[in-house]
Amino acid sequence: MRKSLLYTLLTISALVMFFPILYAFSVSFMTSEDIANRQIVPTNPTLANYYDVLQSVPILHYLMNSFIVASTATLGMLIVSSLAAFIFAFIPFRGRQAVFLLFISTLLIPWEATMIPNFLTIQSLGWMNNYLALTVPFFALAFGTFLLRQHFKTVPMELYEASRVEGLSHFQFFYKVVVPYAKTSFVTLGIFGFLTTWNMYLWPLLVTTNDTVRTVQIGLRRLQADEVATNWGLVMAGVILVIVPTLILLAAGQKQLQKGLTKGAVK
Amino acid sequence: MSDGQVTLKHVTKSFDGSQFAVQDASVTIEQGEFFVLVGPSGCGKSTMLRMIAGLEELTAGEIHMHGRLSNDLSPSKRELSMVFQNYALYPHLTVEENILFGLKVRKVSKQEQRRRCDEAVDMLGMREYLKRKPRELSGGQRQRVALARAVVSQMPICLMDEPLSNLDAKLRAQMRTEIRQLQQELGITMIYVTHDQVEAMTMADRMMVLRQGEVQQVGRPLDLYNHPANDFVASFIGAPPMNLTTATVDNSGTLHVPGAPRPLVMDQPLPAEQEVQLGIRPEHLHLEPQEDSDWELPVHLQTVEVLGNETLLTMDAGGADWKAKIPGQWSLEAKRQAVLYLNSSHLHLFALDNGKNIGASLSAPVQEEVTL
Repeated sequence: MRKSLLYTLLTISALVMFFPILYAFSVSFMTSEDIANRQIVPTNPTLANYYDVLQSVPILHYLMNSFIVASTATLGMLIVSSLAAFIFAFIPFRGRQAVFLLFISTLLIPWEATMIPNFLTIQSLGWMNNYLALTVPFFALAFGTFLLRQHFKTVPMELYEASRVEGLSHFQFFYKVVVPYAKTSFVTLGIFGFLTTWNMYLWPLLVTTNDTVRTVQIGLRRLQADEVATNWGLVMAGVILVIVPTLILLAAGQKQLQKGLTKGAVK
Repeated sequence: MSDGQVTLKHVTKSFDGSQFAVQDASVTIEQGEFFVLVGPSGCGKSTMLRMIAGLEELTAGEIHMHGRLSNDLSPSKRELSMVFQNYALYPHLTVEENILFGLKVRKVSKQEQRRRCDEAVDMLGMREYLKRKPRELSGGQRQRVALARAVVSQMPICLMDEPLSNLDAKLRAQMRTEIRQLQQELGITMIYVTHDQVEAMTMADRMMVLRQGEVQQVGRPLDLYNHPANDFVASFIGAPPMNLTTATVDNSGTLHVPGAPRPLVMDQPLPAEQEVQLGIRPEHLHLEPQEDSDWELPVHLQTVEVLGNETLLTMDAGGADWKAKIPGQWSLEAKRQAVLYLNSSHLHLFALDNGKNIGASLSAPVQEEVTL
């Protein structure tokens, strides 16, 4: 009895949570008349909106850009954060604690506050309209470094010492022992990084002036602004196209993500 | 031929510059020797082992390994293997991969890896769980994997840091024998750290007793047992520990023990009016006069524990707590007076101030004048 009540409540809240996406999915198959009549489900389902999206803006080009940017940024972030975390966890040097605190304290500064200096840097480097501008600034991530360092810290010191006795270099120890040991954290951080960069809007808009490297989020905005009366069916078809890759990623990584999140909670 | 030899010369380690973790330790550990470092926790035995391994730097002194000065050599260049207290197995690798990990790093050929692995696996009887992960193994099995890792490395020196302390008592006794056999089969130098004096006594060719970073005594287990250099070694080695009590030297150089009817005579003169410590092993005390008994001490029995093959007594001997271990089953009443009989040649004398063994032997002359 209690269980069925619980599941009813869960189902309702899931529906409420998912309503925007479900409705967007539904709208993407509607004709303009259906939308104007505020239908919940399309009376006459059509793929016209998808066809129009692919015709009106280079959505596949945008998706490709987004994919390149998100993958590169995620990979770069994993590499840079894990190497930094490794140093902070294993290699002692004078002032390590102070440097680490400084590193972490950048978490306190909102991204928007650093946007203008970052923009000026990118501009002076001549990276406008370039993938570099969209990826490199996200490589060094205090959050990622912190997350990985905390996990690396749980690697028993004896493993480090055993590997030294066996003749492993620092780097061998890093990729042969530490990386497999902290695999779940890498997956967690990877998914987090991919979703964050995939969903970026403001920064790509700032550092791009034309379509060559623009990401899909900006492409969506273009669908909306072109006409006086927005064709919502068209926009929603675009939205669905953009959501799909992230959903696939989440579904694939969900198990690992859960493991990673609960692991952090227990320790 | 000095392969496998380790020499420490005035080795000193201090972590904070004011207190010594290890102070002025010198010893030569011979090739093929089973050498045990033993002492209570915090005595510096692990620090000393870690300095030999190269995981800890020396503050002063020299370490020579295989006949060469090795102070600044990295751990992997010292040609040694090491077994850690918590085994330090790589959790993401199977047992087999764990065993071969070091060999892969050293780029040993595939064939040679196979051969050494088979050999170690047969030696330790662990074929059935080669493909499992460490977390699926019991403590004893993990211990075996850690040993196998040391075996396949074929290094002339093996270091072990309290490898048995996480096992239960029965398994510990079994592994003790296995490790000792393994060492003898391989003929390697073993340097073994433990806080358990039973392990030290049963396994060691020679042992070093440490206390607060200072070397107390180095020698063969029985030498340490029979001729402890000081009162610390005397009470640390042996279970139950050696009984100690304070006695006084009088003007004529005889020794008066509180509560004893007859004084003891020393074969070498000590300054008069001095207090010393008198020690005797629990197994040298008897409740009935033996053939060689020449001295007796009245005590007050506190408890009697009958263990089957022997009986443990605790008692108050002139203000000190003593223990006696008597063979056989004695159903005695506790909380009463009793007399202990012993042979005075089993007594040890230690200085009261620094605890050093005075080295005097004692005798108990029969005193006829008592009957005056």
